[in-house]
Amino acid sequence: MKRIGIVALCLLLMTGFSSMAMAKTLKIGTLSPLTGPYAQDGTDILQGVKTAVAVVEKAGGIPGFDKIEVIPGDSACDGGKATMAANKLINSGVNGVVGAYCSSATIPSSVPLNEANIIQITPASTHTDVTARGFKQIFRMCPRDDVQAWSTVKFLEDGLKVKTLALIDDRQTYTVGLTENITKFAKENNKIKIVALEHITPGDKDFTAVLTKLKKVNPDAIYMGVYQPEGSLMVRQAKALGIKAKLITEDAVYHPKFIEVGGKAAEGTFLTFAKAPDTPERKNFEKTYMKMWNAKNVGSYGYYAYDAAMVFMEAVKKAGTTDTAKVADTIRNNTWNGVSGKIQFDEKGDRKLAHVIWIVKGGKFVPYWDPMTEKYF
Amino acid sequence: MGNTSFIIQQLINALFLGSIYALIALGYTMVYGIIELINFAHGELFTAGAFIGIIVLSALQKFGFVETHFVLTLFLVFGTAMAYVGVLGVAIEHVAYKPLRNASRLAAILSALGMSIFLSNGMMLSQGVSDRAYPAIFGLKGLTIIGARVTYGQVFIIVLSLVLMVALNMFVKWTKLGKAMRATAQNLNMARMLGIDINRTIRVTFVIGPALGAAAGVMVGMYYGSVRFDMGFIYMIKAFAAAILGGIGSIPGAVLGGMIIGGVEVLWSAFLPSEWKDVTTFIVLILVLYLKPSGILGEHVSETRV
Amino acid sequence: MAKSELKKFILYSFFLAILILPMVGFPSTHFDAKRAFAVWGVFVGVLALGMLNKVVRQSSAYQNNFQGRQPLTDRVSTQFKKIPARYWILMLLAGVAVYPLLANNYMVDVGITCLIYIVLGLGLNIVVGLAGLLDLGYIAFYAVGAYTYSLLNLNFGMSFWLCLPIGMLLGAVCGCIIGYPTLRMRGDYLAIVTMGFGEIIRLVLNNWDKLTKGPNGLLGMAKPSIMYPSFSDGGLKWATYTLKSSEIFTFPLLLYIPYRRLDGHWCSKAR
Repeated sequence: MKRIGIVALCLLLMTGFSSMAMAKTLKIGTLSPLTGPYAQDGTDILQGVKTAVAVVEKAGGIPGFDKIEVIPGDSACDGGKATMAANKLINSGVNGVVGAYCSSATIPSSVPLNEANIIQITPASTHTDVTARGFKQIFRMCPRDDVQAWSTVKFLEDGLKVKTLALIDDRQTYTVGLTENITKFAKENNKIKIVALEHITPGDKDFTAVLTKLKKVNPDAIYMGVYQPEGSLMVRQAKALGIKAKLITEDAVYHPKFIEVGGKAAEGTFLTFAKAPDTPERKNFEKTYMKMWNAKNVGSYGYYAYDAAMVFMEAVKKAGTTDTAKVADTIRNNTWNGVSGKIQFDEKGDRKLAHVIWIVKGGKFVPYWDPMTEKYF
Repeated sequence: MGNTSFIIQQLINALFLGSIYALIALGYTMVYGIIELINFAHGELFTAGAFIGIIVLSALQKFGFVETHFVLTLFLVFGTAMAYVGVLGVAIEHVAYKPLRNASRLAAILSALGMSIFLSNGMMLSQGVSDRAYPAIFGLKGLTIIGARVTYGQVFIIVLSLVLMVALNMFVKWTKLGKAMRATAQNLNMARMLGIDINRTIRVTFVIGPALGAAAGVMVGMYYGSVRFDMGFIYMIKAFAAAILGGIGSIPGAVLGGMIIGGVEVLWSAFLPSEWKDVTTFIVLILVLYLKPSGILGEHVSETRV
Repeated sequence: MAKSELKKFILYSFFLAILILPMVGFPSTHFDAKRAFAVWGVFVGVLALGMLNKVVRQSSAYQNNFQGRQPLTDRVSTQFKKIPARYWILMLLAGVAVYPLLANNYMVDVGITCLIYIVLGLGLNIVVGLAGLLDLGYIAFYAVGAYTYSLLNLNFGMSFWLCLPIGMLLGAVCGCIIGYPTLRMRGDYLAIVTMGFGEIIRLVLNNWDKLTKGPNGLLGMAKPSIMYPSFSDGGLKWATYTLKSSEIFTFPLLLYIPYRRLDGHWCSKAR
């Protein structure tokens, strides 16, 4: 009898735990990888959101709400875990979600969030399918895969004027999406010939076999669709093999570690990355962030996460309600001023923003070419 | 780049990769030969060696020691890393394997797996999740042989690993300790009866095997330029496959296995779709084991020892 | 006694210092003494506690007073064993039946994950536990099952219940393919070969773009459903019931078949 009593008590506790009394609180959930290999970026996202909340609360909060609460969720860059975390957020009654980081986590987690009709703003996922499924409450802060691929191809065609291009990817969702889109644009424009498509294994250290193969093909440029650890090794090995082709890569490589590990070999590598505006808001944000988290610099996704949380809170303020349809319309129909530039969304929920081309010069990332204006900086 | 130089370049790549695999595989094979245990923590010992190398090298670089005493720097870096990992190897043996020496094989293997996870997470916590950059001491300069490029760093690494392999072989063949090791590997109880100090022999094995792994770790770090806490895993799988392919317990077998695995991997990527290279490596391994279950140079071991 | 332990303690602490101080103390080029000695201190503290425990247990006072007394865990488990098994089973079934009704989405999710691990664990127990074959690529069969259902459902619209036996069959076929060449190998060779097979299956699934969509994975297969109530609207809750019911069927099978009939064969092979 006692045991049954204990079981009953446990069950009661479990149900009670899920239906806690709701105070007048605005709840923002985050989904980002707080564990695993991308934990650094995931932590940046969480800290960015928390910074935004702190800034808003300091400025007097949102009328109608006593306080704003951030509920972190760990997506671990894994579809299953992200869905679980999303369900957990839904149960805790969040009004909006910032996340997730990896496209392979964002897409599955957006299904329950869509069913529960909760606004989701992803600061980092670039896969086309994130916004292409007709969900009305999902937004994206960063440029899409095909936008980045478009900038790359445009730069190769008009900026560098190359004739032949070799592609390397590491067979992960993100990089494959990029190389596929580059192939598509290159075929459409018919100015660049794709002469090779090679694959590497993430985590490997030796890419000399593949690079030697490319040296034999001798393309004008090599596109490296890889993450930063492999990217920095690859530039070193390419230079050691005496490859003369221009090296171009994407925003996942944009990290100080790339230059630290790549050293002299990284010089002259082109990257695509969104251009940050030089506004006082951005400087203020950086100051607050670094003071709040005792950090030396702001991670790339900290800016997007801050903007995502900011846009959501501003929209709630402007709409005067947390009703999803109204908030979504408010987000879509207005122009917002963020630390990553002017923010405007299109019908699908994608942000109107394009990458610019950067170059590694003198041990630093320097903006180089703007594909929109076709001008050098 | 002509066809000949292309093939020579790829062979150099294969030799380079193969010698690193071989060096790591030697650690597996020695430990297995003596106590018949797959030391799953070997990949982490390799990473630990690379980290100690980075710590020593950056300290020396801070004092401007590298420019003035280049050869001494190399000795210090390799020596410290190998000594540290040797101590770590003995400690692991003492903590995780010695108490289980008479337990079931599965228990010992699981203990080794647990040790590997413990070390890998320990390094993640102490050295961080992102890569650490190795101070560049080998430049990009090198030789050109018939159109194929070899950097001086590569030459150094290939030569050093060959020297280590030969030295190990001589040690095992001709010294008293080496003979004791071979006797223990053949029959532990008999060796004990003949007055060989089994514990000491095992300890020496756990110094030498991990120390070779550490040397490989420093080489990998120096040449590729970065070290991360989880880099041991891929090398562990490949070196493990190499040791088994050559016949586990056999020292020339481990070297041969390493070269074969490195060769298959590089040559497959050189001529055929590179995404299938790991699949091919494992298929080659399975085929060899199917045709000759004890590995290429492995002696036939009777079923009773399993 | 205590003196030799003390000697050992000092020696071990010294070795721990050699191992921990450089690795923990140099996260960058500067020596972080605070961090290094803190970690070392924790390890030495644990070591000291362990040794103290040993010394106390070996002391005569302890042995006179506590020797031969049954440990607490044993006493608890004897109490629990007094309840007949059928009550346990009934309680378990009741808990299983009630859980999804009371739980929210997240708890159901956790429940499903638990149940999946239970199924995986049951299978692994047969291979590793009963047959003594160290199979490091067991998870490959999990992928085979998952992809079987997803592909059949997406391409031919087949239902979960039809795909379940097909997936099991394919898993068994894959098991035979792996088993045939490997079973003549010795224990550790088997470990690396199964690990290799696991990697092969993973790489094939990742590289075979046309069929599996490679790293993007497959999306949008239907949730399992029975005629009524349909799972497609309520989703998760009913899925737990399916998993549970399948487990309720498999449990007795697994409990009886191996232990009663095949146990002798498998275990003898393992030795």
